[in-house]
Amino acid sequence: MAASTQQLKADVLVVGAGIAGLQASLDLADQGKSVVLVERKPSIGGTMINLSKVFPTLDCASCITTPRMASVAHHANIDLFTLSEVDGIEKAEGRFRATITKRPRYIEEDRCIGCKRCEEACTVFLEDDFDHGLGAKKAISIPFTNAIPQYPVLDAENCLLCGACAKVCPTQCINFLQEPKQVEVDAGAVILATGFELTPIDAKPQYGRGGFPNVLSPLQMERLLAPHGPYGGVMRPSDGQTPSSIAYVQCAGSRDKSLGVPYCSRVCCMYAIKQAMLLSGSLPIADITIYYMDIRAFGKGYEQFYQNARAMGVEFVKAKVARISEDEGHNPILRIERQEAGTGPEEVRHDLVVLSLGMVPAWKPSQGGLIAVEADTDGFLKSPGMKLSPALTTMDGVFAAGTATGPKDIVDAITDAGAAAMAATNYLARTQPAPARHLP
Amino acid sequence: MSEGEQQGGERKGNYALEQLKQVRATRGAGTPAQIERSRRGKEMQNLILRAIADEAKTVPEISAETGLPEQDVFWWITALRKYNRVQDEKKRGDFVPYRKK
Repeated sequence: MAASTQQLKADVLVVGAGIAGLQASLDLADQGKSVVLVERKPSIGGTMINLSKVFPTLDCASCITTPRMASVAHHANIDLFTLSEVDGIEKAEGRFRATITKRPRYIEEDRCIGCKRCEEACTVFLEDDFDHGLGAKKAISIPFTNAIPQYPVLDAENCLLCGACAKVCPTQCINFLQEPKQVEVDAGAVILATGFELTPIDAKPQYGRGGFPNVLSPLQMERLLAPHGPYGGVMRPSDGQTPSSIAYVQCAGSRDKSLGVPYCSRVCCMYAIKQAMLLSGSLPIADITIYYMDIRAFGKGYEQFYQNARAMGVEFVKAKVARISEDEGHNPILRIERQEAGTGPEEVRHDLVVLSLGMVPAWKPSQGGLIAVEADTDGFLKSPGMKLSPALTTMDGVFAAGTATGPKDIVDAITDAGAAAMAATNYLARTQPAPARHLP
Repeated sequence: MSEGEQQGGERKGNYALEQLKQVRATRGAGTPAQIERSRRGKEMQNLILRAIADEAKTVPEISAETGLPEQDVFWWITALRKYNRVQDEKKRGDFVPYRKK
Protein backbone atom coordinates (compact mmCIF):
# COMPACT_ATOMS: atom_id res chain seq x y z
CA MET A 1 0.00 0.00 0.00
CA ALA A 2 1.37 3.44 -0.96
CA ALA A 3 2.19 5.76 1.93
CA SER A 4 -0.08 8.44 0.48
CA THR A 5 -3.17 6.18 0.37
CA GLN A 6 -6.10 7.86 2.12
CA GLN A 7 -8.07 5.52 4.38
CA LEU A 8 -11.71 5.98 5.27
CA LYS A 9 -14.25 4.05 7.24
CA ALA A 10 -17.94 4.43 6.43
CA ASP A 11 -21.24 2.74 7.04
CA VAL A 12 -22.10 2.61 3.33
CA LEU A 13 -20.17 3.02 0.10
CA VAL A 14 -22.37 4.35 -2.73
CA VAL A 15 -21.04 3.93 -6.26
CA GLY A 16 -22.46 6.45 -8.72
CA ALA A 17 -23.78 9.97 -8.09
CA GLY A 18 -26.66 10.17 -10.53
CA ILE A 19 -30.12 10.85 -9.14
CA ALA A 20 -30.38 7.35 -7.56
CA GLY A 21 -26.94 7.51 -5.92
CA LEU A 22 -27.63 11.05 -4.66
CA GLN A 23 -31.00 10.07 -3.21
CA ALA A 24 -29.67 6.88 -1.56
CA SER A 25 -26.75 8.84 -0.05
CA LEU A 26 -29.04 11.56 1.30
CA ASP A 27 -31.50 9.03 2.74
CA LEU A 28 -28.66 7.23 4.52
CA ALA A 29 -26.87 10.38 5.69
CA ASP A 30 -30.11 11.85 7.05
CA GLN A 31 -30.47 8.71 9.18
CA GLY A 32 -27.03 9.35 10.67
CA LYS A 33 -25.14 6.85 8.53
CA SER A 34 -21.71 7.82 7.22
CA VAL A 35 -21.49 7.57 3.42
CA VAL A 36 -18.65 7.56 0.92
CA LEU A 37 -20.05 8.53 -2.49
CA VAL A 38 -17.90 7.87 -5.56
CA GLU A 39 -18.54 9.37 -9.01
CA ARG A 40 -16.38 8.77 -12.08
CA LYS A 41 -17.32 12.05 -13.78
CA PRO A 42 -15.98 15.46 -12.65
CA SER A 43 -19.43 16.53 -11.40
CA ILE A 44 -22.26 14.76 -9.63
CA GLY A 45 -25.80 14.81 -11.07
CA GLY A 46 -25.66 11.96 -13.60
CA THR A 47 -27.90 12.00 -16.66
CA MET A 48 -30.70 13.92 -14.96
CA ILE A 49 -28.69 17.15 -14.75
CA ASN A 50 -28.30 16.87 -18.53
CA LEU A 51 -32.06 16.95 -19.18
CA SER A 52 -34.21 19.96 -20.02
CA LYS A 53 -37.48 19.00 -18.31
CA VAL A 54 -39.00 15.84 -16.87
CA PHE A 55 -42.19 14.02 -17.82
CA PRO A 56 -45.12 14.11 -17.15
CA THR A 57 -45.00 17.32 -15.10
CA LEU A 58 -42.59 19.23 -17.36
CA ASP A 59 -40.73 20.45 -14.28
CA CYS A 60 -37.23 21.81 -14.86
CA ALA A 61 -34.82 18.86 -14.39
CA SER A 62 -31.99 21.07 -13.19
CA CYS A 63 -34.25 22.76 -10.61
CA ILE A 64 -34.99 19.34 -9.07
CA THR A 65 -31.48 17.91 -9.28
CA THR A 66 -29.32 20.88 -8.28
CA PRO A 67 -30.66 21.21 -4.70
CA ARG A 68 -30.05 17.47 -4.14
CA MET A 69 -26.54 17.83 -5.55
CA ALA A 70 -25.87 20.75 -3.20
CA SER A 71 -27.31 18.85 -0.20
CA VAL A 72 -25.00 15.91 -0.90
CA ALA A 73 -21.96 18.14 -1.34
CA HIS A 74 -22.59 19.92 1.96
CA HIS A 75 -23.81 17.00 4.08
CA ALA A 76 -21.63 16.36 7.12
CA ASN A 77 -22.13 12.59 6.82
CA ILE A 78 -21.15 12.29 3.14
CA ASP A 79 -17.58 12.12 1.83
CA LEU A 80 -17.74 12.84 -1.89
CA PHE A 81 -15.15 11.69 -4.44
CA THR A 82 -15.60 12.94 -8.00
CA LEU A 83 -13.43 12.03 -11.01
CA SER A 84 -12.86 8.79 -9.13
CA GLU A 85 -13.17 5.14 -10.12
CA VAL A 86 -13.79 2.19 -7.83
CA ASP A 87 -11.10 -0.28 -8.89
CA GLY A 88 -12.48 -3.14 -6.84
CA ILE A 89 -14.55 -4.10 -3.81
CA GLU A 90 -13.81 -7.20 -1.77
CA LYS A 91 -15.81 -8.66 1.05
CA ALA A 92 -13.95 -9.99 4.07
CA GLU A 93 -15.14 -10.72 7.58
CA GLY A 94 -18.51 -9.11 6.96
CA ARG A 95 -17.01 -5.80 5.78
CA PHE A 96 -16.34 -4.39 2.32
CA ARG A 97 -12.93 -3.05 1.35
CA ALA A 98 -12.92 -0.82 -1.72
CA THR A 99 -9.95 0.64 -3.54
CA ILE A 100 -10.62 3.91 -5.33
CA THR A 101 -8.46 5.88 -7.74
CA LYS A 102 -9.03 9.63 -7.73
CA ARG A 103 -7.85 10.92 -11.09
CA PRO A 104 -6.08 14.28 -11.24
CA ARG A 105 -8.01 17.46 -12.12
CA TYR A 106 -4.66 19.28 -12.29
CA ILE A 107 -6.31 21.81 -10.00
CA GLU A 108 -5.67 22.19 -6.28
CA GLU A 109 -9.22 22.25 -5.00
CA ASP A 110 -8.38 24.00 -1.73
CA ARG A 111 -6.95 26.94 -3.69
CA CYS A 112 -9.37 27.19 -6.66
CA ILE A 113 -12.06 29.86 -6.37
CA GLY A 114 -13.96 28.81 -9.53
CA CYS A 115 -13.37 32.19 -11.24
CA LYS A 116 -13.16 30.60 -14.74
CA ARG A 117 -10.27 32.89 -15.77
CA CYS A 118 -8.28 29.80 -16.79
CA GLU A 119 -11.13 28.69 -19.05
CA GLU A 120 -11.39 32.12 -20.67
CA ALA A 121 -7.64 32.21 -21.32
CA CYS A 122 -7.33 28.68 -22.73
CA THR A 123 -6.97 28.60 -26.52
CA VAL A 124 -7.78 24.92 -27.09
CA PHE A 125 -11.41 24.26 -28.11
CA LEU A 126 -12.81 20.73 -27.74
CA GLU A 127 -16.18 19.07 -28.21
CA ASP A 128 -18.20 19.46 -25.02
CA ASP A 129 -19.29 16.06 -23.72
CA PHE A 130 -21.97 17.71 -21.56
CA ASP A 131 -23.60 18.92 -24.81
CA HIS A 132 -22.88 15.55 -26.46
CA GLY A 133 -20.52 17.09 -28.99
CA LEU A 134 -22.91 19.79 -30.20
CA GLY A 135 -21.18 22.55 -28.26
CA ALA A 136 -17.63 23.44 -27.37
CA LYS A 137 -15.54 23.60 -24.23
CA LYS A 138 -11.93 24.51 -23.54
CA ALA A 139 -9.11 22.13 -22.58
CA ILE A 140 -9.48 23.52 -19.06
CA SER A 141 -13.10 24.07 -18.10
CA ILE A 142 -15.76 23.75 -15.43
CA PRO A 143 -17.91 20.86 -16.76
CA PHE A 144 -21.16 22.86 -16.82
CA THR A 145 -22.76 25.91 -15.22
CA ASN A 146 -24.18 24.23 -12.13
CA ALA A 147 -21.57 21.49 -11.82
CA ILE A 148 -20.77 20.37 -8.30
CA PRO A 149 -17.99 20.75 -7.34
CA GLN A 150 -17.40 24.04 -9.19
CA TYR A 151 -13.80 23.32 -10.12
CA PRO A 152 -12.37 23.13 -13.61
CA VAL A 153 -10.77 20.01 -15.03
CA LEU A 154 -7.72 20.15 -17.25
CA ASP A 155 -7.85 17.72 -20.17
CA ALA A 156 -4.22 16.60 -20.09
CA GLU A 157 -4.62 14.62 -23.33
CA ASN A 158 -5.48 17.73 -25.31
CA CYS A 159 -3.65 20.46 -23.38
CA LEU A 160 -0.91 22.08 -25.48
CA LEU A 161 0.97 23.14 -22.32
CA CYS A 162 0.96 26.78 -23.46
CA GLY A 163 0.63 28.02 -19.87
CA ALA A 164 -2.09 30.60 -20.70
CA CYS A 165 -4.26 29.28 -17.85
CA ALA A 166 -1.45 29.36 -15.30
CA LYS A 167 -0.54 32.94 -16.21
CA VAL A 168 -4.02 34.27 -15.37
CA CYS A 169 -4.86 32.11 -12.36
CA PRO A 170 -5.13 34.49 -9.36
CA THR A 171 -4.57 31.74 -6.78
CA GLN A 172 -1.95 29.65 -8.60
CA CYS A 173 -4.11 26.58 -8.17
CA ILE A 174 -3.14 24.85 -11.41
CA ASN A 175 -0.88 21.89 -10.74
CA PHE A 176 0.49 20.24 -13.89
CA LEU A 177 2.28 17.60 -11.81
CA GLN A 178 -0.76 16.27 -9.99
CA GLU A 179 -0.88 12.47 -9.86
CA PRO A 180 -3.73 10.00 -9.28
CA LYS A 181 -4.47 9.37 -5.61
CA GLN A 182 -5.44 6.09 -4.00
CA VAL A 183 -8.22 5.88 -1.45
CA GLU A 184 -9.23 2.80 0.56
CA VAL A 185 -12.69 2.59 2.03
CA ASP A 186 -13.79 0.14 4.70
CA ALA A 187 -17.61 0.01 4.53
CA GLY A 188 -20.35 -2.02 6.18
CA ALA A 189 -22.54 -2.15 3.05
CA VAL A 190 -22.44 -1.12 -0.61
CA ILE A 191 -25.03 0.46 -2.89
CA LEU A 192 -24.43 0.20 -6.63
CA ALA A 193 -26.05 3.09 -8.48
CA THR A 194 -23.98 2.69 -11.60
CA GLY A 195 -26.66 3.95 -13.99
CA PHE A 196 -27.15 3.48 -17.70
CA GLU A 197 -25.88 4.53 -21.09
CA LEU A 198 -27.83 4.96 -24.29
CA THR A 199 -27.44 2.32 -26.97
CA PRO A 200 -24.78 3.65 -29.35
CA ILE A 201 -26.10 5.92 -32.11
CA ASP A 202 -23.68 4.33 -34.55
CA ALA A 203 -24.88 0.76 -33.88
CA LYS A 204 -27.35 0.43 -36.76
CA PRO A 205 -26.01 0.63 -40.32
CA GLN A 206 -29.56 1.11 -41.64
CA TYR A 207 -29.80 4.37 -39.61
CA GLY A 208 -26.55 5.78 -40.97
CA ARG A 209 -24.18 4.65 -38.21
CA GLY A 210 -24.24 8.09 -36.59
CA GLY A 211 -22.85 9.71 -39.73
CA PHE A 212 -25.75 12.06 -40.52
CA PRO A 213 -25.40 15.44 -38.77
CA ASN A 214 -29.16 15.98 -38.51
CA VAL A 215 -29.91 12.60 -36.94
CA LEU A 216 -29.57 13.15 -33.21
CA SER A 217 -29.59 11.14 -30.01
CA PRO A 218 -32.33 12.00 -27.49
CA LEU A 219 -29.76 13.47 -25.10
CA GLN A 220 -28.53 15.79 -27.85
CA MET A 221 -32.12 16.98 -28.29
CA GLU A 222 -32.37 17.46 -24.50
CA ARG A 223 -29.43 19.86 -24.73
CA LEU A 224 -31.02 21.76 -27.66
CA LEU A 225 -34.21 22.13 -25.59
CA ALA A 226 -32.37 23.20 -22.42
CA PRO A 227 -32.44 26.94 -21.60
CA HIS A 228 -28.63 27.10 -21.66
CA GLY A 229 -28.22 24.71 -24.58
CA PRO A 230 -25.34 25.03 -27.04
CA TYR A 231 -27.21 26.89 -29.79
CA GLY A 232 -29.58 29.04 -27.76
CA GLY A 233 -32.49 27.22 -29.40
CA VAL A 234 -33.41 24.22 -31.53
CA MET A 235 -31.37 24.29 -34.74
CA ARG A 236 -29.85 21.80 -37.13
CA PRO A 237 -26.22 20.94 -36.42
CA SER A 238 -25.45 20.89 -40.15
CA ASP A 239 -26.21 24.54 -40.89
CA GLY A 240 -27.95 26.29 -37.97
CA GLN A 241 -31.35 26.24 -39.64
CA THR A 242 -34.46 26.21 -37.46
CA PRO A 243 -36.19 22.94 -38.40
CA SER A 244 -39.78 22.98 -39.57
CA SER A 245 -40.21 19.20 -39.65
CA ILE A 246 -38.92 16.94 -36.89
CA ALA A 247 -39.34 13.17 -36.61
CA TYR A 248 -38.82 10.67 -33.79
CA VAL A 249 -37.95 7.08 -34.56
CA GLN A 250 -39.14 4.89 -31.69
CA CYS A 251 -37.51 1.63 -30.66
CA ALA A 252 -34.30 2.73 -32.43
CA GLY A 253 -32.21 0.95 -29.82
CA SER A 254 -34.61 -1.29 -27.93
CA ARG A 255 -36.71 -4.38 -28.71
CA ASP A 256 -34.01 -5.18 -31.25
CA LYS A 257 -32.29 -8.55 -31.01
CA SER A 258 -29.73 -7.49 -33.63
CA LEU A 259 -28.38 -4.99 -31.06
CA GLY A 260 -28.55 -7.47 -28.20
CA VAL A 261 -31.28 -5.33 -26.63
CA PRO A 262 -34.47 -7.43 -26.88
CA TYR A 263 -36.16 -5.64 -23.98
CA CYS A 264 -38.24 -2.44 -23.91
CA SER A 265 -36.31 0.49 -22.39
CA ARG A 266 -39.53 1.81 -20.81
CA VAL A 267 -38.76 5.53 -21.02
CA CYS A 268 -38.32 6.14 -24.77
CA CYS A 269 -42.01 6.65 -25.55
CA MET A 270 -42.37 9.14 -22.75
CA TYR A 271 -39.18 11.13 -23.40
CA ALA A 272 -40.07 11.33 -27.11
CA ILE A 273 -43.57 12.61 -26.24
CA LYS A 274 -42.09 15.07 -23.73
CA GLN A 275 -39.59 16.40 -26.27
CA ALA A 276 -42.32 16.61 -28.93
CA MET A 277 -44.45 18.71 -26.56
CA LEU A 278 -41.51 20.98 -25.72
CA LEU A 279 -40.73 21.37 -29.42
CA SER A 280 -44.37 22.28 -30.07
CA GLY A 281 -43.88 25.07 -27.55
CA SER A 282 -40.56 26.36 -28.84
CA LEU A 283 -41.28 25.85 -32.58
CA PRO A 284 -45.07 26.35 -32.83
CA ILE A 285 -45.26 26.01 -36.62
CA ALA A 286 -43.05 22.91 -36.88
CA ASP A 287 -44.53 19.53 -37.82
CA ILE A 288 -43.58 16.87 -35.31
CA THR A 289 -44.05 13.20 -36.14
CA ILE A 290 -43.45 10.18 -33.94
CA TYR A 291 -42.97 6.87 -35.80
CA TYR A 292 -43.82 4.13 -33.32
CA MET A 293 -44.60 0.41 -32.97
CA ASP A 294 -46.80 0.90 -29.88
CA ILE A 295 -46.91 3.58 -27.20
CA ARG A 296 -46.12 2.43 -23.68
CA ALA A 297 -47.44 5.06 -21.29
CA PHE A 298 -47.47 3.03 -18.09
CA GLY A 299 -46.87 5.47 -15.21
CA LYS A 300 -49.09 7.81 -13.26
CA GLY A 301 -50.31 10.58 -15.51
CA TYR A 302 -48.46 9.19 -18.53
CA GLU A 303 -51.51 8.22 -20.62
CA GLN A 304 -52.99 11.70 -20.15
CA PHE A 305 -49.60 13.18 -21.12
CA TYR A 306 -49.68 11.13 -24.34
CA GLN A 307 -53.25 12.24 -25.09
CA ASN A 308 -52.24 15.87 -24.45
CA ALA A 309 -49.44 15.52 -27.03
CA ARG A 310 -51.94 14.20 -29.60
CA ALA A 311 -54.28 17.08 -28.80
CA MET A 312 -51.42 19.55 -29.28
CA GLY A 313 -50.98 18.31 -32.84
CA VAL A 314 -48.06 15.91 -32.52
CA GLU A 315 -48.59 13.32 -35.26
CA PHE A 316 -48.27 9.68 -34.25
CA VAL A 317 -47.64 7.32 -37.16
CA LYS A 318 -47.69 3.59 -36.51
CA ALA A 319 -44.77 2.55 -38.68
CA LYS A 320 -41.40 0.93 -38.40
CA VAL A 321 -38.59 2.95 -39.94
CA ALA A 322 -36.60 0.55 -42.11
CA ARG A 323 -33.81 2.87 -43.22
CA ILE A 324 -32.55 6.43 -42.94
CA SER A 325 -30.55 8.18 -45.64
CA GLU A 326 -29.93 11.87 -46.35
CA ASP A 327 -30.04 14.17 -49.37
CA GLU A 328 -27.35 16.63 -50.45
CA GLY A 329 -28.74 19.25 -48.03
CA HIS A 330 -28.31 16.82 -45.07
CA ASN A 331 -32.10 16.40 -44.81
CA PRO A 332 -32.79 12.94 -43.36
CA ILE A 333 -34.99 10.71 -45.51
CA LEU A 334 -36.94 7.97 -43.71
CA ARG A 335 -38.07 4.85 -45.49
CA ILE A 336 -41.22 3.73 -43.70
CA GLU A 337 -44.16 1.43 -44.07
CA ARG A 338 -47.36 2.57 -42.39
CA GLN A 339 -48.88 -0.33 -40.50
CA GLU A 340 -52.42 0.98 -40.46
CA ALA A 341 -52.77 2.39 -43.99
CA GLY A 342 -51.44 -0.66 -45.85
CA THR A 343 -50.02 1.61 -48.55
CA GLY A 344 -46.61 -0.02 -48.94
CA PRO A 345 -43.18 1.50 -48.38
CA GLU A 346 -42.71 5.25 -48.81
CA GLU A 347 -39.96 7.81 -48.25
CA VAL A 348 -40.52 10.86 -46.04
CA ARG A 349 -38.14 13.79 -45.74
CA HIS A 350 -37.63 15.69 -42.47
CA ASP A 351 -35.33 18.52 -41.40
CA LEU A 352 -34.23 16.81 -38.20
CA VAL A 353 -34.59 13.28 -36.81
CA VAL A 354 -34.19 11.99 -33.26
CA LEU A 355 -33.50 8.30 -32.68
CA SER A 356 -35.20 7.09 -29.51
CA LEU A 357 -32.24 5.08 -28.30
CA GLY A 358 -32.58 2.51 -25.55
CA MET A 359 -30.86 1.97 -22.23
CA VAL A 360 -27.98 -0.39 -21.53
CA PRO A 361 -26.06 -0.71 -18.25
CA ALA A 362 -23.18 1.73 -17.74
CA TRP A 363 -21.39 -1.00 -15.79
CA LYS A 364 -22.03 -4.64 -16.58
CA PRO A 365 -21.14 -7.22 -13.96
CA SER A 366 -19.84 -9.35 -16.84
CA GLN A 367 -17.11 -6.71 -17.39
CA GLY A 368 -15.69 -7.72 -14.01
CA GLY A 369 -13.59 -5.30 -12.00
CA LEU A 370 -15.90 -3.56 -9.59
CA ILE A 371 -17.44 -6.37 -7.55
CA ALA A 372 -18.40 -10.02 -8.06
CA VAL A 373 -22.18 -9.68 -8.28
CA GLU A 374 -24.16 -11.52 -10.93
CA ALA A 375 -25.73 -10.10 -14.08
CA ASP A 376 -29.22 -10.83 -15.31
CA THR A 377 -29.90 -12.03 -18.87
CA ASP A 378 -30.30 -8.39 -20.01
CA GLY A 379 -26.82 -7.46 -18.74
CA PHE A 380 -28.12 -5.32 -15.85
CA LEU A 381 -27.55 -6.34 -12.22
CA LYS A 382 -29.45 -9.43 -11.19
CA SER A 383 -31.97 -8.82 -8.46
CA PRO A 384 -32.96 -12.16 -6.90
CA GLY A 385 -35.86 -10.60 -5.03
CA MET A 386 -37.28 -8.40 -7.80
CA LYS A 387 -40.87 -8.64 -6.57
CA LEU A 388 -40.45 -8.16 -2.82
CA SER A 389 -36.92 -6.77 -2.36
CA PRO A 390 -35.86 -5.12 -5.62
CA ALA A 391 -32.76 -3.56 -4.04
CA LEU A 392 -31.10 -6.93 -3.35
CA THR A 393 -28.24 -8.21 -5.49
CA THR A 394 -26.68 -11.64 -5.49
CA MET A 395 -24.18 -10.63 -2.78
CA ASP A 396 -25.32 -10.14 0.79
CA GLY A 397 -24.73 -6.54 1.86
CA VAL A 398 -24.59 -5.18 -1.71
CA PHE A 399 -27.69 -3.34 -2.88
CA ALA A 400 -28.71 -1.78 -6.19
CA ALA A 401 -30.42 1.52 -6.89
CA GLY A 402 -31.80 3.19 -10.00
CA THR A 403 -31.11 1.91 -13.49
CA ALA A 404 -28.32 -0.43 -12.34
CA THR A 405 -30.94 -3.23 -12.32
CA GLY A 406 -32.77 -2.25 -15.50
CA PRO A 407 -34.35 0.61 -17.44
CA LYS A 408 -36.57 2.86 -15.35
CA ASP A 409 -37.76 6.44 -15.26
CA ILE A 410 -36.71 9.10 -12.74
CA VAL A 411 -39.65 8.51 -10.40
CA ASP A 412 -38.89 4.79 -10.17
CA ALA A 413 -35.14 5.41 -9.84
CA ILE A 414 -35.71 7.70 -6.86
CA THR A 415 -38.16 5.26 -5.24
CA ASP A 416 -35.65 2.49 -5.83
CA ALA A 417 -32.89 4.54 -4.20
CA GLY A 418 -34.98 4.96 -1.06
CA ALA A 419 -35.58 1.20 -0.98
CA ALA A 420 -31.84 0.51 -1.36
CA ALA A 421 -31.00 2.95 1.45
CA MET A 422 -33.54 1.31 3.75
CA ALA A 423 -32.32 -2.19 2.85
CA ALA A 424 -28.72 -1.13 3.57
CA THR A 425 -29.77 0.36 6.94
CA ASN A 426 -31.56 -2.86 7.88
CA TYR A 427 -28.53 -4.89 6.84
CA LEU A 428 -26.22 -2.73 8.96
CA ALA A 429 -28.53 -3.04 11.96
CA ARG A 430 -28.44 -6.81 11.56
CA THR A 431 -24.73 -7.27 10.92
CA GLN A 432 -22.89 -4.40 12.58
CA PRO A 433 -24.99 -2.86 15.31
CA ALA A 434 -23.49 0.47 16.28
CA PRO A 435 -24.97 3.66 17.65
CA ALA A 436 -26.12 6.05 14.98
CA ARG A 437 -24.09 9.21 14.81
CA HIS A 438 -24.18 12.71 13.35
CA LEU A 439 -27.95 12.82 13.55
CA PRO A 440 -29.00 16.15 12.12
CA MET B 1 5.13 20.96 0.72
CA SER B 2 5.80 21.38 -2.99
CA GLU B 3 8.70 23.26 -4.50
CA GLY B 4 7.98 26.97 -4.81
CA GLU B 5 5.46 26.85 -1.99
CA GLN B 6 5.98 28.87 1.17
CA GLN B 7 4.60 28.52 4.65
CA GLY B 8 0.90 29.39 4.87
CA GLY B 9 0.21 28.38 1.28
CA GLU B 10 1.72 31.56 -0.27
CA ARG B 11 3.51 30.84 -3.51
CA LYS B 12 6.32 32.87 -4.95
CA GLY B 13 6.98 33.28 -8.66
CA ASN B 14 4.65 31.41 -10.99
CA TYR B 15 4.46 27.98 -9.51
CA ALA B 16 2.58 26.33 -12.41
CA LEU B 17 4.83 27.85 -15.08
CA GLU B 18 7.84 26.31 -13.32
CA GLN B 19 6.03 22.97 -13.39
CA LEU B 20 5.24 23.43 -17.07
CA LYS B 21 8.93 23.52 -17.91
CA GLN B 22 9.31 20.09 -16.31
CA VAL B 23 6.25 18.65 -18.08
CA ARG B 24 7.28 20.07 -21.46
CA ALA B 25 10.72 18.55 -21.01
CA THR B 26 9.28 15.08 -20.47
CA ARG B 27 6.12 15.13 -22.62
CA GLY B 28 6.70 17.82 -25.24
CA ALA B 29 4.17 20.57 -25.92
CA GLY B 30 1.52 18.63 -27.85
CA THR B 31 1.67 16.03 -30.61
CA PRO B 32 2.00 17.18 -34.25
CA ALA B 33 -1.68 16.23 -34.77
CA GLN B 34 -2.79 18.35 -31.77
CA ILE B 35 -0.70 21.30 -32.93
CA GLU B 36 -2.08 21.04 -36.47
CA ARG B 37 -5.66 20.82 -35.14
CA SER B 38 -5.08 23.88 -33.00
CA ARG B 39 -3.56 25.80 -35.94
CA ARG B 40 -6.49 24.85 -38.19
CA GLY B 41 -8.96 25.81 -35.45
CA LYS B 42 -7.40 29.26 -35.06
CA GLU B 43 -7.44 29.72 -38.84
CA MET B 44 -11.16 28.88 -38.99
CA GLN B 45 -11.95 31.17 -36.04
CA ASN B 46 -10.12 34.05 -37.72
CA LEU B 47 -11.85 33.49 -41.06
CA ILE B 48 -15.28 33.41 -39.41
CA LEU B 49 -14.65 36.42 -37.17
CA ARG B 50 -13.37 38.42 -40.14
CA ALA B 51 -16.50 37.51 -42.14
CA ILE B 52 -18.84 38.80 -39.43
CA ALA B 53 -16.76 41.74 -38.21
CA ASP B 54 -18.83 44.45 -39.95
CA GLU B 55 -22.10 42.73 -40.75
CA ALA B 56 -24.18 39.98 -39.16
CA LYS B 57 -24.36 36.85 -41.31
CA THR B 58 -26.06 33.45 -41.19
CA VAL B 59 -24.16 30.16 -41.27
CA PRO B 60 -24.78 29.55 -45.02
CA GLU B 61 -23.66 33.13 -45.77
CA ILE B 62 -20.46 32.73 -43.72
CA SER B 63 -19.84 29.37 -45.36
CA ALA B 64 -20.24 30.88 -48.84
CA GLU B 65 -17.87 33.72 -48.00
CA THR B 66 -15.14 31.69 -46.28
CA GLY B 67 -15.39 28.44 -48.23
CA LEU B 68 -15.65 26.50 -44.96
CA PRO B 69 -18.24 23.69 -44.64
CA GLU B 70 -21.52 24.88 -43.04
CA GLN B 71 -21.24 22.30 -40.27
CA ASP B 72 -17.76 23.51 -39.27
CA VAL B 73 -18.88 27.14 -39.42
CA PHE B 74 -21.82 26.42 -37.11
CA TRP B 75 -19.67 24.49 -34.62
CA TRP B 76 -17.20 27.39 -34.41
CA ILE B 77 -20.01 29.95 -34.16
CA THR B 78 -21.38 27.90 -31.24
CA ALA B 79 -17.94 27.84 -29.61
CA LEU B 80 -17.30 31.56 -30.10
CA ARG B 81 -20.83 32.40 -28.93
CA LYS B 82 -20.31 30.43 -25.71
CA TYR B 83 -17.13 32.35 -24.98
CA ASN B 84 -18.74 35.71 -25.69
CA ARG B 85 -16.98 36.59 -28.93
CA VAL B 86 -20.06 36.38 -31.14
CA GLN B 87 -23.60 37.60 -30.59
CA ASP B 88 -26.96 36.67 -32.11
CA GLU B 89 -28.94 39.18 -34.14
CA LYS B 90 -32.65 39.17 -34.98
CA LYS B 91 -33.64 36.01 -36.85
CA ARG B 92 -33.85 36.18 -40.66
CA GLY B 93 -36.20 33.51 -41.98
CA ASP B 94 -35.06 30.13 -40.66
CA PHE B 95 -31.58 31.34 -39.75
CA VAL B 96 -30.01 33.43 -36.99
CA PRO B 97 -27.40 35.95 -38.19
CA TYR B 98 -24.28 36.25 -36.04
CA ARG B 99 -21.99 39.25 -35.51
CA LYS B 100 -18.55 39.61 -33.94
CA LYS B 101 -18.75 41.27 -30.51
